[in-house]
Amino acid sequence: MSSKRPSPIWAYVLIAFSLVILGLSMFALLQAMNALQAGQTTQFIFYGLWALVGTVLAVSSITRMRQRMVFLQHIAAKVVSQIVCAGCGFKVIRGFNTGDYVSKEVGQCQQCKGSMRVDLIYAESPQPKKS
Amino acid sequence: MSNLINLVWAASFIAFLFFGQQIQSRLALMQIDGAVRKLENMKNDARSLTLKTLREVGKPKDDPTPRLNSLLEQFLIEPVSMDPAGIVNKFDHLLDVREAKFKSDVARIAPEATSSQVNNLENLVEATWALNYMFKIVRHLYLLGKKTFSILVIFQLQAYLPLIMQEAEAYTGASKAFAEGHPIGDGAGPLVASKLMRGKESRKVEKDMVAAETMLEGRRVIALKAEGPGGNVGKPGDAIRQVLEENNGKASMIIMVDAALKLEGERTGEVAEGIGAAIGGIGTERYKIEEEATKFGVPVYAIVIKQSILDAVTTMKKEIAEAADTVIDRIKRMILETTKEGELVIVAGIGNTAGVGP
Repeated sequence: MSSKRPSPIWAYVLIAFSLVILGLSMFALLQAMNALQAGQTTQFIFYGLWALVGTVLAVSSITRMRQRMVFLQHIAAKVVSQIVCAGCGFKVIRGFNTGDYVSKEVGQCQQCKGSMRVDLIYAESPQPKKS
Repeated sequence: MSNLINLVWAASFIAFLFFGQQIQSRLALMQIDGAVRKLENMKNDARSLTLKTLREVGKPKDDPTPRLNSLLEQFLIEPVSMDPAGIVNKFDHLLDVREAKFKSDVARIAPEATSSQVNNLENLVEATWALNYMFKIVRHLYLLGKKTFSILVIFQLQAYLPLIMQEAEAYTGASKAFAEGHPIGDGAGPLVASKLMRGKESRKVEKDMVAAETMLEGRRVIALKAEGPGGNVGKPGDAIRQVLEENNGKASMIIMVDAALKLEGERTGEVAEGIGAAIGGIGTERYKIEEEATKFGVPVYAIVIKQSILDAVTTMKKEIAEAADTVIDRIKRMILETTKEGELVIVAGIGNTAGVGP
C-alpha cells in the first residue's frame, strides 16, 4: 500500500483560470467607469454586470479551491515514525513503513546497542515557506 | 434604449416579487446537487480503497464486492425508549452484537488478515459505511426537496450542508488512515496510556482492553487502553469495573485521557483538565464508569487533548502526538496534589488505538 499524494495540478489550473476571470472583470470595471464618465448608460450597465458577476464567481472559486487545498494538504501530509532508544534516548525520524505502530521494536541502537522502539507516528504539517 | 432598460428593471422587480422564493430554492437545489455529486465521489473513492485494501490484505478467494455492498447497507434498530429503564444495557447488548457481526463479516471477507488487520479493516469499512449513509440521506432529502419543492426541506439541508461536507471530508481522510494503519487523532488517549505502559508487562482485561501496572511518583498506577495496534476502542467501562473490583474499589482516583472536539479558534493539541468521565460514543461506557465510580466513591478526573473532527479521524498530527508528554506531566502533577504515596490510581486512555501498540 503506497501513500500517493493527490496531484495539485488541477487546483493550480483552476486558480489560474479564476485569476484570468478576475483580471477580465477588472478590465470590465474599468470600461464601466469610462462609460459612466462618458454618459453611456447601456455600456455602463453591460460592463458593470460583467465586472460584478465575474468578480463574484472568481473570488468564490478561489476561496473554495483554497479550502480544498488546505484539506488535501491535511490528508496528504507526510507521515513519519519517530524511533527512540530506550537506553540512551538516541532519536531517529524516518518515513512511516507499513506495519509500523507505536511501541513496536524496530532494531538495535547504533550508539548503545539498546532496543529502538517507535515512539510516535504523526503527520508532518507542511512547513511555511521562508521568503 | 432607456425605455428598454426601465422595462427590464420593472420585469425583474415583478419576477423577484412573485418568483423570488422559487429562484432561491432552485439556486439552493443547484448547490445541493453539487454536494450530492461530491459526496457520491467521496463514497465511491472510499469504497474502491476499501476493496483494494481488502484484496491486498485479506487475499480473498472470491470477489469481495457483493459482501462489502451488503455490509455497507447494514443497519441497527435502536431499542425502544418509551420505557427508558434498562435501556443502557439493551443498547450495550445491541452494540456488542453489531460489533461482533461486523468483525466476523470482515474476517470472512479477508481470511488472510491478522486480528490486528481485521480491526483496521473493520474501521475502514465503518468509515465507508458512514460515507455511504451520509450520501444516501443527503440524496434522499435532495430528491424529496426537488419533488415537493418544500422550502423547509431545501433550506434546512442547504444550511446543514457545510457541516455535512466537513464531516464527509473527515471520513474520507479516516479511510486513508485506516487503510495504511496510521494512528489517528482520536488515539491521543491510548498513546498516553501506551507511553505509561512502556517496558511493563500488560495483560488482557474486559473487553478488548489491556492493562499494565507501573509506578509514578511513588503511586501504583494501572494504565488501561484498548488492545492494539489494530483499530479498536474496546470497552473502557468494563475494564475500569474489573480493575476496581480486583482492588476492592480501593482506588484514589480515576484519570481519563481522551481527545475532545476543539472550539473554532482553539489550538490543536491544547490540553485541558476537568471533572467527570471523558468518553464519547453513545453513552453506555460513560454510564458504566459513572456507576462504578459512584458505587466505590472514587473521584473521576478528565484530561482532554483538543482537536477538530478532521484531526480526530485522520492521521495523528504532530501537535497531538507531542501533547502526550504534556498530558503525562499533568497526570504526575494531579496525582502528587491529590493522592498519597502507595495509593492506587487508574489512568484510562480512551479512543481508537489504531497504530498504537501496548
